[in-house]
Amino acid sequence: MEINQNQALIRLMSLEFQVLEMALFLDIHKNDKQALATHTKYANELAMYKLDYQKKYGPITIEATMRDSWAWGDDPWPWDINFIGGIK
Amino acid sequence: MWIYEKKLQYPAWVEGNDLNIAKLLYAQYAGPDSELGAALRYLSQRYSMPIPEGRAVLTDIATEELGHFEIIGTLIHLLIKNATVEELQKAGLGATYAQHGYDIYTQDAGGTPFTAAYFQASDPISDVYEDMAAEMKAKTTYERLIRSTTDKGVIETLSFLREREIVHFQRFGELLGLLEEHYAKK
Repeated sequence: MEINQNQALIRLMSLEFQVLEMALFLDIHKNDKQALATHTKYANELAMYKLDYQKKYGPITIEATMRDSWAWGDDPWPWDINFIGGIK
Repeated sequence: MWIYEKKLQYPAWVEGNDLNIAKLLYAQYAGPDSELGAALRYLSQRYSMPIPEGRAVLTDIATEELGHFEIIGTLIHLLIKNATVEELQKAGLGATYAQHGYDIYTQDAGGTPFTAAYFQASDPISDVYEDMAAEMKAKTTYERLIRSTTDKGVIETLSFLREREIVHFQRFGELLGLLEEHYAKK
């Protein structure tokens, strides 16, 4: 099933969150090899997903390259979206 | 420095039938135990932090709190954006509307503007004790806010933020242990 932009955005948030959660843990437990491997796995997934997302839906950061025109200001901005129903 | 990501940390949502919660949400936008206060507290405490674990976790939690500041702002925005002036007045937001229109101002639930007097940056050990207390107070505030509304979206979004306070409390507790070891070695 084709997912829509909001669902793709939720997937991106979820990967970013997993990376952050591992980072906070590793900040304190920096010699935990298992946590490091988990961080690497999520970080790789996130990097790939973010590239794909930006190609399809537009820039998430100003570091994204934009093919035809400057799309950074295009809607929606984060506060415009009401994710009715939440993650489900 | 920081690079903006054009997305929220969490898919915030509102049903939109409870305008009264908008005013109360300002508690966590820029009140005493707010996300803004937490972010600025942790950022200000990094410079004298003697161990790398502390510098890293203060930076990363501060950054996450800025993301939470944006989530609370988004909830308020989604709740008020289609409300009429009369509805805003009934929901206790008449003064906020008169002074700030439909913008989200850095104030607490009672309308007091944000002040840096809400937090301290002093010395690493007492800073981390303050940080743990701040996370607990924020958690309690979220529980009160959750009890103050029937909006399922607001409740779900605040429940996520409440859980983050618990994780941050845990990380700061671990940091306190590392700091005590660090000073014991000296």
